[in-house]
Amino acid sequence: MIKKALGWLLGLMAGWFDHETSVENVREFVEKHYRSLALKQNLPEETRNDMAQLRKLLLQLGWQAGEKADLNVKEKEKTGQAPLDFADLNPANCFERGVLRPGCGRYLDQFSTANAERDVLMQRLLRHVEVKRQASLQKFSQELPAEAQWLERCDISILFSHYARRTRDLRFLNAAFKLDEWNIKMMRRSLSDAGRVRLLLALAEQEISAKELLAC
Amino acid sequence: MLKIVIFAPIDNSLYARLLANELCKTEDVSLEAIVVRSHWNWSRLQSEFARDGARLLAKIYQKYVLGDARFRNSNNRNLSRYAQETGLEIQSLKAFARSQGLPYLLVKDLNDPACENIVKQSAPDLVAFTGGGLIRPNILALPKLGVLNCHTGILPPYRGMDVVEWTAAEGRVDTVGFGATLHFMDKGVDTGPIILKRTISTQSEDDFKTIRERLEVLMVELMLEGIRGLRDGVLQPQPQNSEDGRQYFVMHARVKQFANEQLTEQINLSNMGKQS
Repeated sequence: MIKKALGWLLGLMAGWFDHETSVENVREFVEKHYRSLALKQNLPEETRNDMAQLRKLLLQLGWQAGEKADLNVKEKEKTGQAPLDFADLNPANCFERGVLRPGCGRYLDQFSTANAERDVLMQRLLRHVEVKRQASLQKFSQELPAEAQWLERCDISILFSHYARRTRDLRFLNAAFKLDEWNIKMMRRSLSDAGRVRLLLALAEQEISAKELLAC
Repeated sequence: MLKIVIFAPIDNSLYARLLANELCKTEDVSLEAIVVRSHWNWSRLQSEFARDGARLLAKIYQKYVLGDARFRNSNNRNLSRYAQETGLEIQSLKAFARSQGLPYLLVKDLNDPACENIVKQSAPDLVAFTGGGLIRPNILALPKLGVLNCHTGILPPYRGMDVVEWTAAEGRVDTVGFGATLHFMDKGVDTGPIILKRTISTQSEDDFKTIRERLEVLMVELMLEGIRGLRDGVLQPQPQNSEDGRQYFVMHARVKQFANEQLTEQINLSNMGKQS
């Protein structure tokens, strides 16, 4: 009897933990935060670009982007991402022995076709994230402010979601789910607008991949 | 005479008890010692919780609360039924070691120096690993032939964690199938030379739990068959090519849900194929 009750209780707890990461909960979380961020007038340019990209993804997912949000980011929507300079990055140096070079995520994400060196590096990054878990992606080749580190981590999640879609490798979506889950927990602490928007972007990219690869 | 040391994850591990029981009845095989990882270790609990999350609660419940009773009410050929078939009477590895006059060691971690010492003293031909975490190269190098591990998946394609679920998620139930692979451990994850592998067939009412239960029985059978084969010199370990497989990691609940759906779909398709 006691064993049965304990089993039921543990099952309930496990179910509750799993529910937290369900698509419904992610949607609710993203829509809620997007709406509050969209009301802000003074977001920096890069963040406004992220907002525009996020809005596009929300529409693609059939989620609510809201009228006011539309008005606030409309102009920037057309500009897209600012061109990035990756002059000092290459697949051999952007992630070495658990140390990330700033821009690594975005740099690796720009390869749209198969690239042997990049693919090897992606496997190493995947392993690093899966083995180190919450302690992963914490070391950088140069000193970075906390917000920049956060953005880099979100970029790796976005990279994983994109790479999962490109290669149809579910392991990368699996890792993106975990990274985003850990990041959501972190977001409950104080975080800048730029950091919040980038996480929402990572979550939306995760859901686009889930829709495509898991049909959910 | 083939000398063997058993490494076990917990003292009441049914897998390890069945193996010990059968090895005692096997000719020209001598069980030299049993090393068991202790139940409670705070840092391991923290690390496993970070890895498994809520699933750790279910694991603890299965292992420590239910124990052998978890198999009750199952019609599947599971370890409990296998224990009945083989007349297993061992309740714990400690009691078994005492009754056999075998050295028994309880360690925090299988890489502890005490574990290394007992293996050195026993000078075994083989260590039969039945679970308990990663083993460091200094211990892997001690037995003459190596450390045997039975992996719950088909190698080389499916290395690492949750490979039963990953096989279904990737739609490879028909092409790769569910099975177990006996191999020597090396410093990589499930990358050591393969000794034996075998698949099991699926049934219409199967889910991951029933498949895993049958695989657990297959693991004991393969471990015993492998040990006998190595004793008789009739098995030749085959090295793996690293490129022939990839490593999988703990599956997230969202992917697991998809794997469940895929499993049902693939089993139904396979049954329809059999009927036509």
